[in-house]
Amino acid sequence: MGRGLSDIAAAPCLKVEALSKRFRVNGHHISALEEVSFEVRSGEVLGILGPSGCGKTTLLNIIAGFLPHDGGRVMMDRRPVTGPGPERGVVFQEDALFPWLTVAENVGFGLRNGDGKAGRRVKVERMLEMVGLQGYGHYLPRAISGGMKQRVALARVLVLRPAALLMDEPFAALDAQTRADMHELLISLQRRLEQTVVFVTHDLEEAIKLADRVLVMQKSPGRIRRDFAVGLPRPRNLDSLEFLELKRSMYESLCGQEPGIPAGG
Amino acid sequence: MTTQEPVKNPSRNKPAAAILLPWLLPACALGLWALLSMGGLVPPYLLPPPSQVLDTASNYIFAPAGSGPYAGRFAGDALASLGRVGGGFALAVALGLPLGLISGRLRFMRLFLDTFINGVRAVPGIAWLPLALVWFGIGFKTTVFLVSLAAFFPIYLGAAAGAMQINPLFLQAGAMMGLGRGQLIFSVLVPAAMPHVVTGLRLGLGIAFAYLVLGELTGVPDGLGAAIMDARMLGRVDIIIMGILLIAIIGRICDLAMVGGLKLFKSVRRL
Repeated sequence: MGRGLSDIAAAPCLKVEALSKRFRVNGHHISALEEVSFEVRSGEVLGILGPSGCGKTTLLNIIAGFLPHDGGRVMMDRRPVTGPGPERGVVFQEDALFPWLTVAENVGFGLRNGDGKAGRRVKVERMLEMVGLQGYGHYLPRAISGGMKQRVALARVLVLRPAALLMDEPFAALDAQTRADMHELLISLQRRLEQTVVFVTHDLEEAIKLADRVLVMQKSPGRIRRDFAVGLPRPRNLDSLEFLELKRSMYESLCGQEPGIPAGG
Repeated sequence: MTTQEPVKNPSRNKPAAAILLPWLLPACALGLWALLSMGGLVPPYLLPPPSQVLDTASNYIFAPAGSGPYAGRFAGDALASLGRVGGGFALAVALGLPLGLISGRLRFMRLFLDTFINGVRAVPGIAWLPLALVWFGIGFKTTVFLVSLAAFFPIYLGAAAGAMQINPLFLQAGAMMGLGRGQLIFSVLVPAAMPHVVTGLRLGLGIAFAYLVLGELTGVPDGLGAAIMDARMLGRVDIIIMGILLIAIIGRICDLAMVGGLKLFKSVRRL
């Protein structure tokens, strides 16, 4: 899925400008993020890759509106982000479904007003079908597997048609086979909905497999070390030479074995 | 494909043991009571036999009012007592639930409330009795005051623990899906805190009955506690034992009714 001129012309959906965040730990200020800037175009899949402690989850939480920041700004469709909202749907790392609601009720949770009851039900049914959970609407979350829970987590956000989908290591807790299935599902949904996605991961392969662009972060202070464009055609072959080469140069960048190259390269 | 409730009701088709087990201990207590009283080990003026208490109870419950000293008083006494418990408990819920949820979520409210509430909690209810009598006199108001004071603490603590221990991701998820503050409270916070809230409510209702009797021991004319207190002065141990049993039965029924009513909430039904 190459990027043509029309994609380049697409307006930035999400714009992060000179973002900084400090935490106070035992009276000391620790700089979690320093001067982080990037743009995400509409329909683009951006991976944020970094070692643990590099501030990638903090960055995602600020974009989601869960955390305040200290400097810079986050613009979503030209409007500054001041708090959480349904135009930025979040899939969490761990299971955050409401255990007192069925699968269908969880998916319909954010569909509050409008549509009417029948319209909401149709939307929920259609969404469950899209994530491969038709027939599971009446189950409680505790009765389904971890992979199915993350499908529900995806469905309850996508049903709200968010401008951006934010995911914080959403597949890290799944076994390898289930994770691969979820990758397939995410890619097919992303193409079908032309969904803008920003996801955080510490897994190189996952980043290259899913993303159009990967930002590699470094820690203390949390900064973007390099911006990789993943120009590989889809579906991506994990054993191809290009894939392995990209993986190696990303690994070197991740380990800091090369001089920092300014973002945007 | 349906969007019905999950069809799962484990209470159907109980094995016999599940039906009999809850009654085993009461049956043993009854047997021991019969053995002690009818075997002559304890004189009847201290422990009348079950048969005599049963006679007394049927007279108290079913005989036409006025045909004897305690005849037919049950309905009036039970109604009076339930009114006091109901009033006091409702007051305790109205205060304890919101305050508990708030102090469980907001640190400054917890700091503001906790010292005071736990200080007051350390005072035994009976220590409030003289003050309540001076303030409210004998009767409804004193009893309601004592009941609500006693029931407040478990309800408050249950709600606070529930609100404090909920998965913070639930609130983030709710906010991310576009819920406002009020909707977050009713659609996320309360259901998520429900297991602890229910425990607090049940403990609160239990202690409400304990303080009901304390409040009624002070010389009100009607109520189950009053019947017990009168009986002590008349030396009617059978009435005292009957009153204790009736309070136990009514308390258990109220607990079941409350838990059953709470099951109208999905968050309780699907615990």
